[in-house]
Amino acid sequence: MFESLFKFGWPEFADGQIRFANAERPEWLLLAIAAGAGLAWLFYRNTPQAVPKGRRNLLGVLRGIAIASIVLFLLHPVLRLEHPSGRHRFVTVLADDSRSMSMKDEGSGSQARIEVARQVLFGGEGKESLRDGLEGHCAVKLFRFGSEPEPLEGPKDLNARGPATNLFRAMKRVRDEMKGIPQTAMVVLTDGAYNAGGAPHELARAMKLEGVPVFTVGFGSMLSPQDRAVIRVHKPREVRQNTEVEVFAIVRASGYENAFPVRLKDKDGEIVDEVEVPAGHSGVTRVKLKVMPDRKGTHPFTVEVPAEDGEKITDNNAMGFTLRVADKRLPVLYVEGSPREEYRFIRRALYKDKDFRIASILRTGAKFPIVQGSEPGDDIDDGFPIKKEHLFRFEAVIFGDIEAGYFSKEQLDMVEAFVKERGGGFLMLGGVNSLNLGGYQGTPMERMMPVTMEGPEVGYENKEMKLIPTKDGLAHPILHQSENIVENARIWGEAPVLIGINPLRGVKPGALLLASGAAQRPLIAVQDYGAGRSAVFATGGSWRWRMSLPIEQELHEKFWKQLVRWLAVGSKEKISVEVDKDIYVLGEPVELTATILGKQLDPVNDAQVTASVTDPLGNTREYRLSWVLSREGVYQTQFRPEEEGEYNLTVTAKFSDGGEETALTSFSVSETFAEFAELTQRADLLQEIASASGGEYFTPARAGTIVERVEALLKAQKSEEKIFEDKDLWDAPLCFGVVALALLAEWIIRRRSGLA
Amino acid sequence: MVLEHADTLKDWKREVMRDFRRRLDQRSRREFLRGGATGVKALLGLSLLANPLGKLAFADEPEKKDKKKPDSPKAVKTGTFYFPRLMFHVKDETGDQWNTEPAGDVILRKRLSELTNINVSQDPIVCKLSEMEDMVRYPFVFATSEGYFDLPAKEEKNLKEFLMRGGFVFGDDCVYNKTGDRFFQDFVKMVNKIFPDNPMRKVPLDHEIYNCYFEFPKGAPHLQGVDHGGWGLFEKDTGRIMTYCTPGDLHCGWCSKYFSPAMNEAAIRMGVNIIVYYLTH
Repeated sequence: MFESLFKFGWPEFADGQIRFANAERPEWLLLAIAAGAGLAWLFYRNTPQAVPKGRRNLLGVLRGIAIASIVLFLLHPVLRLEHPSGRHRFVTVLADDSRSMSMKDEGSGSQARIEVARQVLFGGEGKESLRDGLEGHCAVKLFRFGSEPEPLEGPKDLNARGPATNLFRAMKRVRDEMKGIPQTAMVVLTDGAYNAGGAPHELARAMKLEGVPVFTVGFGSMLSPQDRAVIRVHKPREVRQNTEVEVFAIVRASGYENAFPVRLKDKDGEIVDEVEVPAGHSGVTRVKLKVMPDRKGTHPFTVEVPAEDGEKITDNNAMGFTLRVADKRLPVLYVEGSPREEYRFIRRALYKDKDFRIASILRTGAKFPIVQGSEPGDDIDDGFPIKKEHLFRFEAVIFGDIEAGYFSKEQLDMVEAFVKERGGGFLMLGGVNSLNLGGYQGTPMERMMPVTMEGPEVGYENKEMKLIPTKDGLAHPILHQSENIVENARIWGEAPVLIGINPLRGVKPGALLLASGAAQRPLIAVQDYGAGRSAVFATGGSWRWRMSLPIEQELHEKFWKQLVRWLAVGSKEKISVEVDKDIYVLGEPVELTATILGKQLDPVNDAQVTASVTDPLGNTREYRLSWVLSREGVYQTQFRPEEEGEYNLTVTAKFSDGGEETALTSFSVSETFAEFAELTQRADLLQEIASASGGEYFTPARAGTIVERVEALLKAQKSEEKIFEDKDLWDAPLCFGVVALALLAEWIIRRRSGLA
Repeated sequence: MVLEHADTLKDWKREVMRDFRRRLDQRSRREFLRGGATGVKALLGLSLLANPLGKLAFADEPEKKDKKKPDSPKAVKTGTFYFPRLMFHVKDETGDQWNTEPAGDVILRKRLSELTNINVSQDPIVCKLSEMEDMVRYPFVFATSEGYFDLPAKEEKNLKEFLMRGGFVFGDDCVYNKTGDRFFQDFVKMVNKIFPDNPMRKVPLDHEIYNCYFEFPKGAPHLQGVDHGGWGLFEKDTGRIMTYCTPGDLHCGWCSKYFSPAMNEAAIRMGVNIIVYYLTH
């Protein structure tokens, strides 16, 4: 009854407050009411017919009520309600629509993961809809995601066809889209089989700071079915021609105990390498495969484990990748004080490997040095380079047994810039004229080196000693002689003696001691320096390793190659190009990034950078790369490939001085089976995401609880954030009734009184 | 001269030094009697084979590269280079054995240290192929004799391993009866036997071994014997010379008693080139 008269129920009136929305100048309206009432009284004061005074007053009052009511309507009366902001806050729901969601797990009946997710989200078969439950409290935005998030309209949009999962990107894009809009929580429905993109749990940590917890609902069994799979392949993006490349395949065997082969195949299906995983190796195994590409270009390969009889999922038994082979060597500059065996054997170790270009300057008794391995443009025929552009052609510099006085101050400063700015590597060897005996005290080398030196009075000890690796050393790539750390320790324990050491005082804070020599003095120490790296190997007698071991044991060669590679790892290219993945699925955007550096390897922001992209059909399209304002020397573009197959890219940078540099890269577009690499639910990952964001992990059966959690969150937010809602009252039945009754009563009385 | 009882390093060292002093004394007396300036220099033991004498007429006299004139002997020296002699079984009982003319080694070591900045150990060292652990300390060894020789199977195996690891053997024929090439023939035969798929061959005249320090446009100086030229075993994947053999008795040229001073100087400089080549390749 009350509600039918007053439009709203009593509790709303009890909680609310009646206000006038147009009450900015109420005095004028009050004046109008008074004027209206005055006029009514005036007109009824002298009527043409004699009307009793009491009736005249009644008529005036009735007309006054009508006029006042209408004026009040003009004031726009409202009922102001105060309630939680839920109606204006959002919960985002992200549903995984990738192919892994099409899997049917044992124990789930005939339902695929995606069907379970559909029921959880939209209801069905007696289950309540999570969407409806949430919409009862707040606004809900639905998304589905594979590699990219897209709006989700209804259950028909969820069909598990996304070729890849990028949970990180989906969460990030939705989070970015919701910026500025109050978001109460994010709900993610997935099996956690993410195989691309960044770390979602780190993003979840950031969302916690923003007050947006993530509720994860995990689909899929936690127990592995009987299956063999290639989970991941690790390999270098670009390799050098005729260099043996190590490809690491992560394979998993669940429920099978027998031995099985892991094969590396080329594009023609020929087996390039094969490794057998022994029987009893259930679980995840890392397998090393080798390939030596002998031609330049991009070569597709496949890592494969044969399917067992009756294996249900065979899509995950192979994984493809590409190797880009460049005819490029790692350039090393080695300066040596006089001919000695160490020089000969280091040169030999690096010269034999086509991965390296060793240029050396050897001082002899003659006025001019013996220069070996130089190329046009190196400009080292007369000695150590005097210009940055010549020194910066190299990626690592080795000072042998040579004193600081051989170099000018400018040359030593340039070597420091070579490491600090260019990202090159610097190594100083031991000897009677190096380190503390070479006058390096007070030079940039003293700053760069990872060790502190003794004074010049402490001489070179020409005695035999063993290399004793530290714990850090055994795990370091320079001393990596075996995959197995115990085996590595054994190899070094049995390694022959080397001869000679410069006693060093100690290792600088922040540097890493890899090995000690005689009397526990530091022998190998390394550290990062600026953009590059520096190392000290305080002996001139590592050649004894080569001479003392059988020819098939290449400890010496391996050590030197690893040392130089480690030194040069940070060296910058004038133009370096990267795509964010090796293999894309059709329609997936390719992000191309180029870093452009000038002659002295400083970032260049005004280059004209274009990418020429040749698709598998041989069509070429050009894309312009734009400078990313926030990143020095970095240019980017994005495009979507439209054909499956190999794409080759040539990126050209044109400099303002007319110079030009090019770089190549490639990628392929194909169907990916990575989605099936991990068959079990990644509950650990989902729990980590939920926990990092302050949210909670749910099973599908408990997903309905999310509504309660959201409700609780909204209530908590209510105390912090009040939302007011004004509801119109002018159209309440009572208002019109009062006016109508007043006018009707006035009219009847007027007629009875003989008034017009 | 044959040092018959030099079976141990100690004996070898003692006998070498004794022989060298005696020869220097004899040489000095002869030169002194001649009254020539050369003799005075020899008497004083100063640069017997120095540049002025090297300029005397000699067909194979090397010309120094202008830009590679040696600096003063004060040039900085690093590392330690040993010049050991290889002990092996010579079949011929007559003629010089593996340990012939040790004074030549002494002179070469001395001159090597004068002409380059190589830190040369003056210690006489003897190596045996049967003792691999000892061999690996001295990656460069020198072998010479006048006669035919052979190696037991174990030594052949060790020699192959030594060369493969990066060792270097310089062989020089001491020339039997001033005309022979017995050592050279057996050396080539032995190397070809242990590397059957990679036989030794004549080193071309424009090879670095002939110009890495001093210039020898006509190849290694030939002092006597059969002129086969210098032969080398080339490493398959790098082209590096793994072992080098000369038929022309360079070693006797290092001594000062058999040939002209110019020939002596040429032999010494070729020895320097071989060692510099070894240390840089």
